Amino acid sequence: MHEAPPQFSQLEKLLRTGGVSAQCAKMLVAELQDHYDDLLEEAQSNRLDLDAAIEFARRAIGSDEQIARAAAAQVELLSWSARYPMFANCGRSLVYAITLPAAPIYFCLNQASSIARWSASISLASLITGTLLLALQSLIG
Amino acid sequence: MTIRQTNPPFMSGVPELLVLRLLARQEMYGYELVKAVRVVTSEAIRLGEGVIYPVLHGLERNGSLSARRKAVNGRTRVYYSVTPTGQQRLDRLAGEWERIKNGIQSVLESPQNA
Repeated sequence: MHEAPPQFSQLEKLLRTGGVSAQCAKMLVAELQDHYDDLLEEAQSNRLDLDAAIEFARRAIGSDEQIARAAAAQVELLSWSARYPMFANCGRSLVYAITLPAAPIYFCLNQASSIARWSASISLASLITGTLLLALQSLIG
Repeated sequence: MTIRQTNPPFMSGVPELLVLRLLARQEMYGYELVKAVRVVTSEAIRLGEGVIYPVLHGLERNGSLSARRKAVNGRTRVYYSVTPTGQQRLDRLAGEWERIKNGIQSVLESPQNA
């Protein structure tokens, strides 16, 4: 039975695009794969060769689009953000509003040692340049 | 004047009604259920077999069905059965369907439409 290639690799993606939650999409695909295996077994026990059995099983199960549409029609299967898009968008905006100003602070804290090194180098360079300029100034004067 | 509800489950609720009715008799897994639909309806109703799973999962999520995993012949099957909430839903859907059926029947049997 397992000579047949696994099916539904695209379906999970289609389900997620349609708003079905990740957990539901995984469970649906797993059960569909089992159903598909049962159909293959049935077809092969009716003396169909593997190619014909695969065609029979795929036709009986229906197209990925058909299944994705049926799943999207079940509100209970949709993820929270697909069920309440307005709240999800507001939440996302709020997260961005908080994280954007915090991002430079986080970066600075994360790179504190590098920033300290750069600051020390720039200060030292400014000090040396300033001293040289002052020395030149006094030599000219 | 009372506002009468429309019939959203008129066609879209058919798979749900069939699933609940068949699972109320005995617990089944998806493949078994699809076969049962075929047999019981004498192949009058043929669903894309994959379409049954979103219905099963939707009903499980809203508490109408319960699911349990069972190992059979080295494979794990998910068996579904109707919960008390599902039984109530089934009674409501069956009543709605009966009302629709009677309505259509009376139109078909009315001498004015013959």
